[in-house]
Amino acid sequence: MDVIKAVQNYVNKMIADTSGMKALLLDVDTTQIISMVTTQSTLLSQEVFLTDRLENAEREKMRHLKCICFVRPTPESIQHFIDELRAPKYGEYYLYFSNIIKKSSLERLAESDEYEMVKSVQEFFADYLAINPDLLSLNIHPPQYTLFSDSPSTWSPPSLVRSTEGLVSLLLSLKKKPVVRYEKNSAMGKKLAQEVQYVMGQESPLFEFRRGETQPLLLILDRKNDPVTPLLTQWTYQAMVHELLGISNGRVTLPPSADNPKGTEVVLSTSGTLDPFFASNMYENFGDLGANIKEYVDTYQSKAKTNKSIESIADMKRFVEEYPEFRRLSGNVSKHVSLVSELSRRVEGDNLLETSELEQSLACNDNHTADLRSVQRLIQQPIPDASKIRLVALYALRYESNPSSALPTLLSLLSNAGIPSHQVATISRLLQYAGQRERQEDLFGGTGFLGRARSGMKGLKGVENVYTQHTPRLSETLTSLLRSRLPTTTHPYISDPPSQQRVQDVLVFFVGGVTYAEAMVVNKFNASQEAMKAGVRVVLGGTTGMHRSSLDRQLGKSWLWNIGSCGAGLLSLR
Amino acid sequence: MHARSKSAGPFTTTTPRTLGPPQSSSSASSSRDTSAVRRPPLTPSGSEPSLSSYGQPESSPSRIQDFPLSCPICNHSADTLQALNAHLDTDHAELPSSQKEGFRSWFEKNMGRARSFQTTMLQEKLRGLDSFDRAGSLAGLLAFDTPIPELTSMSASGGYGSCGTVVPSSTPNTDTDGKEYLYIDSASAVHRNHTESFVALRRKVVDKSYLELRRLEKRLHKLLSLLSTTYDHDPSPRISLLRTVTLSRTQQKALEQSVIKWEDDKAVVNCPICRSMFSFSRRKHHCRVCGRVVCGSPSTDCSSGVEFAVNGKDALSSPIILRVCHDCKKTLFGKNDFKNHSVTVAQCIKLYDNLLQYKRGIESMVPRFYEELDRMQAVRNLESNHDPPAGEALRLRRRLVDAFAQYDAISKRIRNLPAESLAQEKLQIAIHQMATQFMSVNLVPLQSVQRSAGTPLTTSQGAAVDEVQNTLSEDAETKLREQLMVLEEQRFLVQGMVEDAKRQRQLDEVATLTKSLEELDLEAQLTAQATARKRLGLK
Repeated sequence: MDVIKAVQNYVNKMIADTSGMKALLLDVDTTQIISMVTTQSTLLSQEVFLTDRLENAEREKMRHLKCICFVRPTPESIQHFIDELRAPKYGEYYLYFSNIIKKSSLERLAESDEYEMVKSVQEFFADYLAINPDLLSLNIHPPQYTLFSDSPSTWSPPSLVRSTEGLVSLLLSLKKKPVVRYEKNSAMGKKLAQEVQYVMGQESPLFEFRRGETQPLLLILDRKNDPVTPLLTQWTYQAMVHELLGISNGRVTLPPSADNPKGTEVVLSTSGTLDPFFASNMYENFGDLGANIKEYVDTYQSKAKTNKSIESIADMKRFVEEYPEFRRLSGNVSKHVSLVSELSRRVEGDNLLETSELEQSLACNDNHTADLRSVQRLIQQPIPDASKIRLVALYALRYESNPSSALPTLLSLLSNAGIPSHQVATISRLLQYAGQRERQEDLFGGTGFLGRARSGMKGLKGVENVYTQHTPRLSETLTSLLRSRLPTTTHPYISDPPSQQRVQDVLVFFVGGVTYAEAMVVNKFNASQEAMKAGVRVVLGGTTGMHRSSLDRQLGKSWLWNIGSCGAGLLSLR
Repeated sequence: MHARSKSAGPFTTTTPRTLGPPQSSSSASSSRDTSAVRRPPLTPSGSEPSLSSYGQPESSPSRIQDFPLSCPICNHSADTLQALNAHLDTDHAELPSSQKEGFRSWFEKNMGRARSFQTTMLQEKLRGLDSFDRAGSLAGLLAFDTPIPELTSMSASGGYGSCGTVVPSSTPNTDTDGKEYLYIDSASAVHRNHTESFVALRRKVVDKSYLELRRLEKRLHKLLSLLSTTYDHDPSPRISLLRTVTLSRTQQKALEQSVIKWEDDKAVVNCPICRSMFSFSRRKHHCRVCGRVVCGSPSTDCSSGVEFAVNGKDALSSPIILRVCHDCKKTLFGKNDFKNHSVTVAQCIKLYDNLLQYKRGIESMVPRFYEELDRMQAVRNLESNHDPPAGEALRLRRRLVDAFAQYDAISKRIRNLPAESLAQEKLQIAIHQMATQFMSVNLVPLQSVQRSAGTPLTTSQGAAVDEVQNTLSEDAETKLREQLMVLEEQRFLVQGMVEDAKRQRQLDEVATLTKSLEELDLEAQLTAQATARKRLGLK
């Protein structure tokens, strides 16, 4: 149940199966898939000397190279490959599809291979982007895809196809034939569940795995049942880097600064061997991160000191031996120091601490008058527009049914603060998408007597950290799942329910995108005593990921974009 | 003829056969039309060599040369299989199809017989027999020397037969019923192999085009032989220009039309290939292979004159030019053109092979070196006071460093090869990068091992060195050399890091690294000079 390893296995196998000088041809999607799990140098060490896009017609003839072509079986890629076969540029072709290929496409390909250049055709089910070992995304976002069609409860057909294919390949790559559950109020979740179930029936020979003790579970959740998590400012390292700087295909671009006028691009790898510091700190919160990075710098400095005194040949030898490691360390230290300093600059500049405190209060406590006053005050302050919209969005969600809700006033305040009207309008769209009517359960713990009592209890216990009070709804869902208490009334099965509810391998998939906050929940859950004892492992996925949403990007017409523009924490809900 | 065949490779010797009727095609084609097999009336008796050896007769053309054979139909003698084949193709090309079948089986047997003889033995016996003086048939006269484009490799390379062998042996087997084999076991990931069904699908298409190719080739061959015989019987002066004139237009036309019926001019309004209307400026032409009316516009290349070099008895023979339409050209020459596309980067490939050899060598040497070190460590631990002789480890280390140096040199040569295209240049740079990477991966642990083995190793090395070279000055020289080596290694590592940094676009790092690289270069130079001075001083 490690998605990075699963994809890596496929990639390594396809490259190692062919020896000699090789070129690797990819399409738009597989380029991202591959770049998530491997590096240029790994490819080089396996004799892959050229990497190019299949659709690039400018490629030159290199008959002495063998070509490994890894593409999604989309009509475009098939057509490009047919064109390639008509005028082959490489000596031999080894064709790998990332998903199930249609019989008709195979026929078309075979007919165009007059020179008999294709040596093998295989399906390797690596059709998703593996971000962390337990986190993946399908990158369904504009401009390539829009998630919804005309209303926020129906799929746009291409996105549905892509999601189904992505899930099917996920299941195959992890060798799972699961039972499928979805959220009762989610039409999109149900549709997707049906599609996946259908493919599993159609391609039953592919899904013949040895049955374990318990059948795996695919749980399809809908973003609209938890619109709050993506609106909150996150304080863990990976989530912050993504939210404030943007992680795109594992790379982060640092904005230009005084001592670095050009701005740099750094690679963030979650692999422990490539970047041990990041791997061990990605889920640390900002405060602990500061302490850790200081320690890290200290180690570096002590090493640097010993390297300064070179007097004898022996010293020199020692230096040479340690030098590469030292260089690597110094590169890594400077990378993280600049990342963290950039983060703290943003935290200060955007007044994130104050904003976050209010966000948490809106998400967790029911205190209308105080919250309203704070929101009004912060709108007047020089914080980014996105933060203001987010605050009002949270307020709107929280006090949607509060009789004294002052949402119209707040909206006009936003307009007065110079925020364009189409951005202000996202808030009403958000309510339409994920308002109280649309949601399945009471997200805010109830405003009734019981709910108030519960929040009162919380107040008594006191909170550890005012900025991280909120826990995503996923956490609760997973806990009830672990205790076999997830009711079929809210989370029905698409087929007949199995005899026992006990689960071990769980794949959770969010229609509408997944956040790093939820990734952390899953990571903590997998590491928890209770889950370990029961042998429960969770892998989390979502329709979107990778690209940070930002207000300065061109506004699209899709629903998704507009919601996303106020939810920066949501992976690419834009 | 031999001189000619040498220059054109093995393909040309079999050229007439390529153009010939299907009986000379490879086994794949013969198995297709075995439905009408009949015993031939003219099958010679005698030895019955195994037919199975017919599989790749073309793979050893040298062995079947110089062996007297005779035609089964007219008993005409020929000296080589090629000559006989050509004779069959030209003189007996129009056998009724039933006769052809028997003919083929006879041919196959003789082929087998020819192969079963040892060439070395025969060469002694047959020395002095010149195959072409005796060849009275057209076989000797008519050979196509590197036609432009070449009509070659189809039969020589096994052509169609290779279709069955394209499935790499490493791919999983398929079920007998043709269903895709599923790879499901706990160790490997799920995948599905479509190669088998793909090849089956492709075979249909390739089969069809192959048959078409055969048909057209045969027709073209007939036409060419007709034309060339006419030339040969013509007594006019052997100057190509005049000769074309001497053969009257109508005469040639009649000959051409005897091979393929020409399409009626009047029936065609548009060029079937480019779809443009014929007019005064866009004239109608006939493709001499398929007989269709096509235009001859140079811009669309719907049809054009193709030169066929016909090698007669004399060297003065001229090429025959025939108009061939685009479609026929593609069918006839497309595949061979494609296959014969010259590889101009042979140098790069050769060097790359060298590089791989050194890499393998290093990979096999490194573990041995470690073993040796471990052994030494163990010995040292046993006898704490006594240093074990470091001879073997030293030797290995030297060899390793040598290999690394060679490896590095080759990789640099690859990078510095002149590249004719951007992609090739990129490739060469990538190979160099791989080499750099490989070296930094393998050199670093080598050094750290030495360190972990500790200074005792160095002293033991020193001791070993002392044993060999007793004089003090030589020792100093060794030291300098060692220093130089260290510098070289260091320089190399830094170079690797520069490239790394460049890849990661850390430009500030690149700057500092480049600077340190320059310093290292300087240092290395100084040390090298010092070493040289020492050596000179010694002498």
